[in-house]
Amino acid sequence: MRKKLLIAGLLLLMSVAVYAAYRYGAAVRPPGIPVPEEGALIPRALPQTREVDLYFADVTGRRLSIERREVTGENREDLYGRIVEELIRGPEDPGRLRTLPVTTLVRTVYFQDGTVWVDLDSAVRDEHPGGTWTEVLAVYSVVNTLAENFSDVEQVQILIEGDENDTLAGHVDISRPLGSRVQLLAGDWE
Amino acid sequence: MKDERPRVRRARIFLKVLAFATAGSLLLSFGSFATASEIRVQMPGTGDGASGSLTVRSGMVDLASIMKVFNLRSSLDLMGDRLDLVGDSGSCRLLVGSPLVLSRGLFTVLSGPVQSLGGKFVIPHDFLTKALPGLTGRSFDLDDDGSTLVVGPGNTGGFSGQRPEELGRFASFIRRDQYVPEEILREEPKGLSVVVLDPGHGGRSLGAQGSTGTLEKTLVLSVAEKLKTRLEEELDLKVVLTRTADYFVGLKERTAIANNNGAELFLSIHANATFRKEIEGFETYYLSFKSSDKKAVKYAEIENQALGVKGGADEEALLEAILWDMAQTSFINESREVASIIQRSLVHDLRGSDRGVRQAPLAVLMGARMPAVLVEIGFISNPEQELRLNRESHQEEIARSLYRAIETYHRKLLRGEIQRSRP
Repeated sequence: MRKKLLIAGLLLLMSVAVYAAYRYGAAVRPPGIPVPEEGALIPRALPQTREVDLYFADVTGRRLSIERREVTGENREDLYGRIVEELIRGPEDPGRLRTLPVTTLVRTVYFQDGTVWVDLDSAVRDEHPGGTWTEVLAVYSVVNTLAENFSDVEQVQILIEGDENDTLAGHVDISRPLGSRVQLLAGDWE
Repeated sequence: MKDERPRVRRARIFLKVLAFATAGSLLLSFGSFATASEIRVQMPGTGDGASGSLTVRSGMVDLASIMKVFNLRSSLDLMGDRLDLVGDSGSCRLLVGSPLVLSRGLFTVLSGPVQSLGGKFVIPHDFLTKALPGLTGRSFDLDDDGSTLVVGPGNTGGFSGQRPEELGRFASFIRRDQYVPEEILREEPKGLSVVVLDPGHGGRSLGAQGSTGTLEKTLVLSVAEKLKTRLEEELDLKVVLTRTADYFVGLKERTAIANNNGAELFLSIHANATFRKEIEGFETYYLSFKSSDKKAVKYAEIENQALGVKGGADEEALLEAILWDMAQTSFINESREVASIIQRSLVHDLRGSDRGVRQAPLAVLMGARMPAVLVEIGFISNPEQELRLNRESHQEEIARSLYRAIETYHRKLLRGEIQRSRP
């Protein structure tokens, strides 16, 4: 009898878990992102504090420039999201320039198999000033910051309002996950 | 460099060996094909009689004549870089400018690239023995002196090739400067005849906006129109605009317009902006073919070649990577040259800060099969510059400066001072 109850209980638990994963997991995941393997949905609840190198622009707007800051997140995705929020907040040193519009909101962040998807709201596109190099620096401030601070982050894809986009401001290809370009610290692409 | 992992380095060595081998076999065969010669096509059941003939020039055969003799149909894609051939028993895809032939997920590599010459396609003669069997279902043998192509009876041929993951990204590297048709070598230096100007953004894509409401899309169209008039009137060039009013044009469409018009120069005109309003000056860009896309780099790691493990290299993605690589890389030197002429001209004529000629992974320059440059004609985010950019007379000055730069490039080409890249 006790065994039966246990089995019934387990079954109930499992169906609730499957339903929850389906209902909530699928509902917020942007299209085009692979569904993580079972177990990956459970957040690692340990708060993480990291000192990270934030990639902003230098005062000339030609190169990326690093500012160190301590950031805390509740789990991996949360930490990545808060780091991007720090980028949006902008540099403290007046000798550096912001790379993302101050009104940008981080919608969600996903991590799977070395790739981070950063889903930003439309302000990142609508409030971006434009300009080819300003766009390069916007994209790679996000990509470099995540890929250079975390060894298990290989590439980063920026989504806007949950969708993949060809570009952010009309010049630079962001349709695929991108790897970091540290050469931008010297103001060069190559 | 992070990218230079040992596997990649090994792959590069392999590539060099492959390139040498190709060049070697090319040289050997070049002797017999250096001048125009005829290949008689001998169909089964016709005895010694010929059923047709193909003219071989410098190892290249006119594709139209092959299609006629073997009853093939073809279609060219919008971008003008993928050519599909269909025969009675199969089909294949050719990449213009590449030695690759793709059929049913397999690749084979010809001894040189398929080339587009004055609207005609020419293809290395080994296409006859390597790819025709798959299209026609027959076997093909070229006799020892290369003068007769003996065609086998039906159902004797098929397409044999390698899987994409076996090939890696090598194919895109071994293509250049092989089988240069003699008519090209003998060609007199020629100037420009067709230029495509690309006013950035348009329609829902506003581009940068100035603090008093100046729109990049409006400004750059005005400059492009002024430049077009000058080029037509003073240099008698054919000039095509990628958009002639305020409507949206996709980035790929813009280079497609240039490719399809046979343009010899693609100039994308933009206005600049940053988060700091004091910044001013000029920037000119050409494409960087260094992708930061890790997947593209992975194609170069073909250590699985021998084992054939890990299938699933996505064929379309590979094609994209190859085409991406190919289209602009052959023109990169010329693009750099044009970019620096334009940058010098603007800085000199309009006395703005020289913010440099730069390379960047610009979506709008990818896929252009001609020298391609993007110019930023000033910072709309700088209130002072915005004011000036709004003035008709200043737009005219920019157009004149860009005109002078294009004229300089045109004259250099005419004098043979710039070696023209071959598509």
